Amino acid sequence: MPKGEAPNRRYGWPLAILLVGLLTVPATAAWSDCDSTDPSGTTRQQGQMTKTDKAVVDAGTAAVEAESKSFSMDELIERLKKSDAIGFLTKLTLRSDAVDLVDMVKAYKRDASRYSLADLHARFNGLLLKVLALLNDDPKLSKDISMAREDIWKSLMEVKA
Amino acid sequence: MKYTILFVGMFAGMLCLASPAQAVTQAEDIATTIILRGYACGGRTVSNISESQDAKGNKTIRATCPNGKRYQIHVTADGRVTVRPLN
Repeated sequence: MPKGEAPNRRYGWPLAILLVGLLTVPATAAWSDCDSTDPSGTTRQQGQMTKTDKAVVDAGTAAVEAESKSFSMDELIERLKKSDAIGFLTKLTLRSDAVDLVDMVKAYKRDASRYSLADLHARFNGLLLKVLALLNDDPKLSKDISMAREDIWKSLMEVKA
Repeated sequence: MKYTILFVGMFAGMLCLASPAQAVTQAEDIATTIILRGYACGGRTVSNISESQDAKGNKTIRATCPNGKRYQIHVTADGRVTVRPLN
């Protein structure tokens, strides 16, 4: 046996098994999406909607409705506090930035000539971008905060001077 | 036997996909704070960390970044964070 083949024999199988494992999960979902045959075994005609199709459409609609719900600000804050993706000191730093932004909004409401709405919006976007970048390891919370962006902005604008 | 190996492989793959995020270390946390305040750090962790706290509850942290710069982070009792370069 040539010398170069030994590592392939030793690591080839476990690597192949792991690769199959990694690929099987998404592949199974893709397989079920691509399958054009009913459970009954009949081939689907173009333009016809089967019971499975309707169920998929209903599930999709429900998912979209669930995603478009308005988020509770307290819940998002609580989740952000509990998230392991951001360290304690970083959370304090972000809180300091948020307090500064709230102070700016209050100053804007007292005297509109001090800051412009565009300044506040730019600062808000910058802070949100920082939070989203830091939540790289918590994609669900990142997605929820991203979707609640407008709600957060509205609640910020409701702050009284 | 083949199916057992395949099942173990699938399970390992699923575990890899579903592995939870690791908590941030203190060194990473300090480095992120320095970077968030707009200072260059040259890496995602710091070294030579020293901490002190005064009677009022204000905390001072000193740490060295991978680029050699040393910073002081001041955390007031009410949670306000400021960063200052030391050299």
